[in-house]
Amino acid sequence: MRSLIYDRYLYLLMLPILFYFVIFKYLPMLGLVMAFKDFNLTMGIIDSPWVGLKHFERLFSSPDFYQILRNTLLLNVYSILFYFPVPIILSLLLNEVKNRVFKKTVQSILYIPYFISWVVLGGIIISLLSPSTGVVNAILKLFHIEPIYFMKSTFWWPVVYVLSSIWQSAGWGTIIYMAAITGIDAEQYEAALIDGANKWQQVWHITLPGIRSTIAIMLILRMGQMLDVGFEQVYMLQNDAVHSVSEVISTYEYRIGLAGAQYSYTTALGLFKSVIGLILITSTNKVVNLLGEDGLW
Amino acid sequence: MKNRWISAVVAVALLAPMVSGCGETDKAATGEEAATISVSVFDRGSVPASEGNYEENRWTRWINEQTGLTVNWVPVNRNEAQQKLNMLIATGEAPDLIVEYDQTYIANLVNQGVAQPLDDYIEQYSTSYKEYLEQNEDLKPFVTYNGKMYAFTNRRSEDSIANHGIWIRQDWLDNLGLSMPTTDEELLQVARAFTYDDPDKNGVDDTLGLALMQWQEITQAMYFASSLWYDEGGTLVYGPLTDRFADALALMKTLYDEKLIDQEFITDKQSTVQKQLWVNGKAGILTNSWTEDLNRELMQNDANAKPVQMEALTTKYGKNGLWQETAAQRYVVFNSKMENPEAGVRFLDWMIDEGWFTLMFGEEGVHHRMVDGVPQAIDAEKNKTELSYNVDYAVLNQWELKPEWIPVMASQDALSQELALQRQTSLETALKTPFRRDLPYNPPVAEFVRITSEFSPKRDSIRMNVITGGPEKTPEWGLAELREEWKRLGGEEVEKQVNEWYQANKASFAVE
Repeated sequence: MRSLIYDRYLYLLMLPILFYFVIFKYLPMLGLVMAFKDFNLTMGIIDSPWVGLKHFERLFSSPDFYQILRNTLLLNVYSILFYFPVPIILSLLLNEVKNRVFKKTVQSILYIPYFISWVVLGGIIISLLSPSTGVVNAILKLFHIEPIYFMKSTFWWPVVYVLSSIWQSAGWGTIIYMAAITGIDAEQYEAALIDGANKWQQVWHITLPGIRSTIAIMLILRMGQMLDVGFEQVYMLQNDAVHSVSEVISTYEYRIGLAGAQYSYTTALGLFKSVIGLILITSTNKVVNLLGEDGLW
Repeated sequence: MKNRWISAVVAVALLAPMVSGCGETDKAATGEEAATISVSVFDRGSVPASEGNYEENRWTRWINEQTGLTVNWVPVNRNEAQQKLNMLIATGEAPDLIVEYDQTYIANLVNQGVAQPLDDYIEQYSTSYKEYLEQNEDLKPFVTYNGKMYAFTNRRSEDSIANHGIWIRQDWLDNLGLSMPTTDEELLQVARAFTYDDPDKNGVDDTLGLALMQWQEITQAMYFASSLWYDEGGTLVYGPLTDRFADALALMKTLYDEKLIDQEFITDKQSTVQKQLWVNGKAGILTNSWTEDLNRELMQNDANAKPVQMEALTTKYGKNGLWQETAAQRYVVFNSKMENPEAGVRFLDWMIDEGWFTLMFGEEGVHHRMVDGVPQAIDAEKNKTELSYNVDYAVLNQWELKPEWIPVMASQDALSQELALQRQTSLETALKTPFRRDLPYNPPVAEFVRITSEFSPKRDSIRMNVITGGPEKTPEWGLAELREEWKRLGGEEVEKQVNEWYQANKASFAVE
């Protein structure tokens, strides 16, 4: 209590942020009751009739739901397997570059796609992969391989999705690892050098363990997004021919919720998504704790 | 110590707007004589800064002057109008008069109790609109729900009833000595010739049969399989589930398999390639709209180009026009929480009587002059500033464009005149063949609204699989898939409800 009075101005400073969270993050959560009601525009949230688990029953009995859930999970699993290690490897590589100018240039080039909107990137990717005019197929032709219409193929589409994510944000993702690497005590490297460790051994025994907890936290946070797939990326890349692999929860929510005005149903879906996200975060955190890392809490 | 004070001040300053933002002040209490109503207006972002904004500009002031009312305009972003209106309704801030083009949305407002019945108000307060309605009895079914009128509306002008169009290069037909196709089979033959017989006589195999835009609706309409309900012997059947839909698929599949269309149109979502094909003279047929703004560029690129709109094609099911809108244009409903319905009726009476003309064409002698009874722009630049945004204030109008007026209204330079003449013929062609529409509007059945949002993506994806999926994905396979999806989504129940609604309301639809 004494400290409360003593630091009163600091607390006063904190108030706006507290308000921000209460007003914009916690109060809207009350809207979740919509998932248990038949939301009607004129009646508003409070007066709309309660319907219990009706929307959840519809959700779990809809075959569409399992398809989009499968697509969402698959895209995320691919992305954890293939995307997640890329920024780590990139930052390890960058860390070994000694020429400052070269390093900065490479970093900037890697960051650039992150600042381009998916609307533009989507167009670039589609034209790069075009079977008639795209660069990729022109190269394939040199090796006498028949042109492939990547964007139309249900096999290639997820591949394009993951590769385009890497292209777009792997460079940006290195920032946090680069920062963690900077935090490693330089003396450790010196000691290892004296003991005769080569570059590879230094990376394996010093750099990687040094950023282990950062990797763990990034993984936990990533697990929480297992049911999220960025709307824009999918929306820009998808087309009617690959609907069966590209329809994910976020695009489905958009189609049904906003375009179809089924607010209660999509709220139920959103709630389901959050609950799964929470379970995944806490269980990954548990696993990480068991492995001897701090994790999130 | 000083620093602390500064931070405290900053904290309070940050906080102040949030606190004051919570207390909503009521601005309505002004004590003026004039009755006040609020009306929604589509915000298309086209009011120039020098003119003011959507709430306050020369036309809003003019309206207040003329009507003796205080009209508060509530701007609604055109691209997300329904979401915005829904939000305003949910928070109790919806305007007294809600304006929309979408009949299904109006049906929703009626279902949800947002709109109120209008028969008594029209009877009591209206003169001009009452008269207009008597002269236009056929508009009534569009606004009648359970025997009561819930919206004001007006007749669409012909140019907005017509919609899509199929354009063909007459000069290419002449080069190859072909005649204008009249059936779907002839269309295919012409498309083959356009692709393989060098129609532009440049000695290079660089042409395609068709450039595709809006092709989904156009091919569906050709075979009477639009996403509408058709009365088949007294029962309503949904267009994409009929056998005819398979024929629409078959036509597209043939075009794709024989490489008569761009093989990558699937990923050309913004139609950039399709547009290029047409304006650069690489495709001989274009499916899009009857107005076709691309023709200007095409004719600038190639002086010999002669685009002509094709008449409706005959298929084995007969001849159907391309998509046409219904006769009713805009809908204006009265919010059930509205305080002064009389003022609302007075406003609309004035609008349909005299207000609309000035709101669409400006003042005579200033913005337009009358030439043979048609308003012709005086100064295109001036109008661009002062008139480009006003049309949305004319919530009701009696404008009826005749095709022969198009050249009179257009700019007078040679190319514009040529295009205007082309457009005049095009409009006549577009309206020549009626478009089959068995119901004035889609059934206001909640389950149907729900199922369409889930079914439409399936329809599009199955359609694409049939078109591009090679020999094993036949149109019949596609149709079977569609029917199965429909059933799986609960389509049988929807059909039952829709038909029950039809039997109950059939009598109230005017015979078209």
